[in-house]
Amino acid sequence: MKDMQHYRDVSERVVPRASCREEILNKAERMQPKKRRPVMRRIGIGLAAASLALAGTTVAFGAANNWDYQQVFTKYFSEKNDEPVSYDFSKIGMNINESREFPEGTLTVESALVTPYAMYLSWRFLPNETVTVSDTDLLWGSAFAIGTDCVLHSSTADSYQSMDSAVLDEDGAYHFTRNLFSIDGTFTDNTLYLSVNVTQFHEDCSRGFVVDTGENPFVLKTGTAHEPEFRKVDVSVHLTECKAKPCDANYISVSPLAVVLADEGGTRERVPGDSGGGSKMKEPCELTAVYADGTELHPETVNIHYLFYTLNPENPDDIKGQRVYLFFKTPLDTENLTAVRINGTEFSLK
Amino acid sequence: MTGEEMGVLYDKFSGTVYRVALSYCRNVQDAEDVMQDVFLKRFSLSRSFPDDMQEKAWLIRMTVNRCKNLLKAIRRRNAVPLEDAASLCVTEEESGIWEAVAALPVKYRLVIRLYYGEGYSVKEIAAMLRRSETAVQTQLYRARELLRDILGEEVTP
Repeated sequence: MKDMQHYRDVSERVVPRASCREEILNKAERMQPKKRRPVMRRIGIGLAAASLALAGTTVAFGAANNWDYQQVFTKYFSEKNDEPVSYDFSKIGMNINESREFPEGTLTVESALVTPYAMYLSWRFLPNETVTVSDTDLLWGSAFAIGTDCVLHSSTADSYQSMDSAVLDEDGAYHFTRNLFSIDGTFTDNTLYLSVNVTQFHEDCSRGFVVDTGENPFVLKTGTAHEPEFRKVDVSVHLTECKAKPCDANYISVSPLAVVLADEGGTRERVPGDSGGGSKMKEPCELTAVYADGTELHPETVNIHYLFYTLNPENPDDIKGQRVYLFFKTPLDTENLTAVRINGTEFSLK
Repeated sequence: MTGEEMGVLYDKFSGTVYRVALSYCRNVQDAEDVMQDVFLKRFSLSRSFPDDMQEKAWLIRMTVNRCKNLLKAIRRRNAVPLEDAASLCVTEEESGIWEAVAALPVKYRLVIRLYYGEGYSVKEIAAMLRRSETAVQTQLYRARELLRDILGEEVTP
């Protein structure tokens, strides 16, 4: 008969090396000035700029805590020709502004925005005390994911979804968007079908926190999307500096979350190695939003997503166009945006 | 958090964090890395806990998460014996049972660590690891069975 007391006896003798204490405390001391609430600092700067741009007034730092996509999103959802547009998300498992409790925390769908090319779902996650979200995952945009069953499609477009960075609010909640892109055209008929049946929210080591949609997500009609008139400017630009492959674009459009460089029209062969969806950025790409009052908004990082698409189902390599999405972490005020500057080249949006 | 407060917190919980990490990782270097990660994370938070028990539970949960991430991220490694810890065994009984526990699959090692090593109840372990009480009870039962197989005799609590 073996006694587990022996196990307890040995356990009490197992202690970390004495030098660990000094190493950890010294490291903590060194890291403290920049380590302390690093995400907050980033948000503070970004939001202060965004709030300034949006409101056109000086905003106290305290206001930076009020991370709110809805102030931007809602106006594109709530009105069309002064008539309210109703969005019924009731069957996706969660209503807008409805919260759901999971063992890891409380998840809320905050808002949504539909553009001709993409749909953005805005989420809020307030973790329970025992849950931590890795700073590294936050930085790389891999802290949150939506399960593979989350599909957005319309009668004219299939979709692809991307990760996006999350931000931490002072109340301890994380705000993140999931971006769903049309991959074979635009959401031209404005009728979107969304299947997101949130059945589980859990931590996954390789994917951060995952919103799972269950085995049998259903599809429903969400309503008629208000397709806002986003700024779209014809350009002729050839950018080589900010990514692995040169990018031609014949127009730039801006939406509250992204600047889109698009090259559409004509047909080309897919270059070996090209594939839509991933980030191919090798070096930081400098992106600046310039407002009418001279305010400039610099994103902390530029999150680039490439998308190649074809309208030829027989030959997916018959590329019809490509889009490059450059994301801001804070919403842009598209109405007051006068220009965007990409790697020093300014493109007027007037 | 001041340096002094960090030191107090470290002195209070480092043993538990280290032992849980060691139990999970079975490797001293990894356990030290995880412990450092966990404490640096804790020091960076302004959050306070109502009592030591809750803070300890939070640290254990963090430790388990970090261990999972570490092992999954680097996709390693087969069992590495706990030579350093095994050397602390002073009797044959001690080394026998210590090595037998170290040989268990990780999910059983962890519940043994928390139940026998840290003195948590089944209910507390279930809450901490987000498992059902039944699952924890089953794992404890299965762990004891495995220990009996390894040791060739029953173990008593």
